[in-house]
Amino acid sequence: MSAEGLIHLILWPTLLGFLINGIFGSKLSKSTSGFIACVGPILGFIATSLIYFTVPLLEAKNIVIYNWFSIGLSNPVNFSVYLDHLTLLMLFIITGVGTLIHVYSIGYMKDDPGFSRFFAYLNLFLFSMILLVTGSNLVLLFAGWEGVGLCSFLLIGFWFKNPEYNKAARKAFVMNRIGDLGFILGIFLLAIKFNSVEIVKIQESFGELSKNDPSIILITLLLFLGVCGKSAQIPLFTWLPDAMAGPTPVSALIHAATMVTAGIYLVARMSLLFNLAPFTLNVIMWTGVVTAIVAASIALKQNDIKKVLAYSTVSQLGYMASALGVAAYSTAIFHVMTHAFFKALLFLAAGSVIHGLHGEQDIKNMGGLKSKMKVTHLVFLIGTLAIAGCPPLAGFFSKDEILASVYSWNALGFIVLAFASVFTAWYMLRLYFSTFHGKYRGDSHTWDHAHESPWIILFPLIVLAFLSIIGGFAGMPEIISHHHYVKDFLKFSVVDHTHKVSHFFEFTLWGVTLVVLAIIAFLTYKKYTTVTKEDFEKENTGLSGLLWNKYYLDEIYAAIFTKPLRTLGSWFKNIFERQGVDAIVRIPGSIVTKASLELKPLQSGNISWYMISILLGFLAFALLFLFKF
Amino acid sequence: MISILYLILLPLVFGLLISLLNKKWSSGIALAGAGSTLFFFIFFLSQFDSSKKIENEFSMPWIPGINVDLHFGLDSLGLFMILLSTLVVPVGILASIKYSNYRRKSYYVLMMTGLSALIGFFSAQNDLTFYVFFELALLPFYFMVLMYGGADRNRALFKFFIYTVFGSFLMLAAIIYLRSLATIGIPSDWSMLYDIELSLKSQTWILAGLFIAFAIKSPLFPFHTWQADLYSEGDRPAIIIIAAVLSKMGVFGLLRFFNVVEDAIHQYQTPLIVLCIIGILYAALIAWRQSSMTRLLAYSSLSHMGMIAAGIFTASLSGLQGSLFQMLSHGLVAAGLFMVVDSIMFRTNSSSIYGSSGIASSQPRLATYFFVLCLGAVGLPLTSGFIGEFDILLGLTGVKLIFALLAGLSIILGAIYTFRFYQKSMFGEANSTNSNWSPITLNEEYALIILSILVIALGFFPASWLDLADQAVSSFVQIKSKLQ
Repeated sequence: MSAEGLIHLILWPTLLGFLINGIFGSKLSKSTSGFIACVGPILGFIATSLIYFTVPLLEAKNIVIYNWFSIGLSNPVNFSVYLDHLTLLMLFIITGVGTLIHVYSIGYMKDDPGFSRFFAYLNLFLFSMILLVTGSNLVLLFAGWEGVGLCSFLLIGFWFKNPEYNKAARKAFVMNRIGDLGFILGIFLLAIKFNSVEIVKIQESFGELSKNDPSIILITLLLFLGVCGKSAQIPLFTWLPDAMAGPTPVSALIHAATMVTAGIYLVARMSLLFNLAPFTLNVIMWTGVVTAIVAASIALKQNDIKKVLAYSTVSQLGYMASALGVAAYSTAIFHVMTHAFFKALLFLAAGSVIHGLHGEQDIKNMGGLKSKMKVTHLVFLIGTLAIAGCPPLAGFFSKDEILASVYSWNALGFIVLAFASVFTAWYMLRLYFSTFHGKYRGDSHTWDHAHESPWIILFPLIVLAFLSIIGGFAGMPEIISHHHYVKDFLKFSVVDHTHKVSHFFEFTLWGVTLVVLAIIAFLTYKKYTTVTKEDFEKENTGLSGLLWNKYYLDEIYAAIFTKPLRTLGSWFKNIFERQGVDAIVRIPGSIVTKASLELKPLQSGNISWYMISILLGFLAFALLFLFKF
Repeated sequence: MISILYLILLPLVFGLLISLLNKKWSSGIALAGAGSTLFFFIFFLSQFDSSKKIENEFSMPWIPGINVDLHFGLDSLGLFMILLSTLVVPVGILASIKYSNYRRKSYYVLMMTGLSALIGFFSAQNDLTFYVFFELALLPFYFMVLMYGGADRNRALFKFFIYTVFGSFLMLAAIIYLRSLATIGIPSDWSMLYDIELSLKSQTWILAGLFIAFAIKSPLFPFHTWQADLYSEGDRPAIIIIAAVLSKMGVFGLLRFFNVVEDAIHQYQTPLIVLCIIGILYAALIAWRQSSMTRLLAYSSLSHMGMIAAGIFTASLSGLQGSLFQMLSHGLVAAGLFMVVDSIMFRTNSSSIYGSSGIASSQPRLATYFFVLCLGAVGLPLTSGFIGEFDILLGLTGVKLIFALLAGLSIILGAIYTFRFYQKSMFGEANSTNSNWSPITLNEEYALIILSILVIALGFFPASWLDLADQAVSSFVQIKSKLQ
């Protein structure tokens, strides 16, 4: 089959699955619903593999499906698909991890009354995400971009009876839209400047532009605002931890593996444009670095198992952004890939724990679970080591590459990221030890009923654990191998800067990593295998209080933006609208009022009479003219 | 070529039938009348040749003394709004059926008359025909509200009436002034009016008069304070039509007279756009703080109308095209949202957004249609709302980036107030009174299905409509746009 045919097999089954489950879901049995939902990602994965093995993509393909609309007279915005290695890699992640999470969800959601609705949303999400990575122009990419935001909204607020969850859903959507406004303004400026929104055409017309051209800086900064919203960078990251209100498979698929990496994809996709704006790249790097350290430090003090993972995701996205900021785009995408494996694994394993403990999420009520949940324990350990950067697991290679790339550009950025790595290892091992080791701290009833999850949940975990072990070999550094598969694969899609670091630096980095990891493992083992419930409940003061309260960012945003605007809105509504606007326009009104009082007797008040005279008048007029007298 | 007059007369024939036949058939005949008008119009549409300027023309001497004709015809500009009218009036009728036992025959006669007058207005081919139908189209709806509105309808209607009279007076004055400046013959259609050579000063006066008249009708900030009162006190099926179609008459007027006052619009572009932006944000902030559904929708409409007007004042191809498309899209969305509010209020007798909380579980279908309409309202891509807003904001970017940024804040605020509205009214725990709702009737459901499908279909396949909008605005607007 040709790529033209296969692309339909990637795009539409998920949309169809959404429609079937969305419209007829309540009439279908749960197994049918779940099966239909899985068809989309599986077909997508097969089709992606077929394209990979049979279609040479050294030249990107642009497949127009139909003309969507036009800007002005000469700029068609097509519903068209762009197929190159970057898209293909993203499709592998989306459909691959997507399939596993769909399968997992059949087990995880089996008792939920909204089962088919859940799968409808999940399929719609995949459709939007596929649209996002295949769209050949920025408007279609934006459509996918907003579409995944919508599905995120729907799935965060999936249990819609809870007002808190609804609030979290709204917060996610609104904060994303702040970024989206920047994104779309960037698209407008590009459309005006280059007279096109096609990604390829835009990147072909740079020739005459000099570096740091002010308009390019403005455009790239606006696009990056969109990235901040979607990929949870400072200052727009506070929605992601709240997004954990959604069911755990959602957190794994949307809020860890795929959607939140859309911003990273966007910058990599527009790498030629961003290369023209070193100023913006600098901004991106520092945003990423600060996000990585801030989020990692917050994660040190969180007690909700999903919240820790959420801040960890924000922190890892910070790493990816800092890689983008040093123009190491393929490194960022490499980390997108390995992160998709180990973070999906960690979330799903956490879901297995929550499932086994009947909804318990607070680690102060956990401990010692390794005897009850052997498989979950093992895969969680693999995920923990992978994210902590233990060689030779997946996270080690991609994170090492990011650190080395940043080091070659900016030593200070490297130091901060290195500290963030220390935090990462600490909060992950803290989470691991306090969940699976030591004594159980919850109530005995839950302990007695605690159980390992069924195989439909464990199977995806095992696959992901396997990928978390081997995923890193796709991108080994020069000192081990001369074949960096991810970089070679992406070299026609993104244009990296070269990052040279000495072999001495690499070896030192590895050595230090291992030593520090060992020390942290020892310290956290000491501390969190003997920790008591009271230790978790202790009042947090000083610095740890600041971390516990997430630097008060939610409160600060509320005080600066939300509250003043709400007050202003209320003031407009209650005071200004009545005493301001109405009073001014009432002046001519009062004149007419006086005049009309004189005319009042003319109104008979008989409505039928008015009505009939209007009708007859109309008809008479019309007939007269129709028959020309 | 069939004259457009038949389309104008068709609803009146049904109106006559309603008044002659038994009351119990009134709503059915009205629906048949509106349906056949829609059907007939689609036939017109299929015959429409967009390369011609005006088709299906009808013209008759009207006031021989000053040589004025009554002149109708179908052009690509009016076509959009006639389509909207013929789509939305059936929706209003479908919404009214649940009340039909309490409605007199005259109600449906008025509905038919209103449809007829709207088609007349949108197909008017000269300024005086335009003016007369501008007034005529209002009357049937005025009486519908007067007969069946809420408790406080008299005050609301009075306010509305005062505003309208004031606006009409200014508009008539502007038209007379314009005609008095005609040097070559007496203008008999739009193109002749556009050809009248005007100094910037006289254009400015005409623009001032017309702008206030149209700003009152739409309404636009700060001439809007009649709107929320009327929307909450009005007869709701009538309000569906008022909010969806009559609210577009003002901005439609701006498009019709665009060429007359083009230089003045260019001259005063910045203050006009700034006024629109103030209105967009002001209304959005108020909508956020509303706890009454009808008022929330009124202010949401006000915000969207500000966006449409801003698009017109960009005087760019994409801005104008976007505005015209958005008039259609917002008409469908507003009709649908008011339809939903009517369905809720019919059952709860409360306009509070908290009155129906939690019904998503027992009324999943209503919740679904409502959600699709909300997506159109927030302009999500692949719904009809996106295309228009995209083009308008693109046009604004072409004028000044800061305008697009400020107007664009409404896509954030819009998401806040729309989803707040949706979540508070649909989600949460159901209270006891809401769990024993009567399910939505088929009549309501048909209307909501059609509107939801249109919102999605126009989002996926807007191209042919946008081409039509292109012709509509580029054929009579001398674009000075930077983007072309």
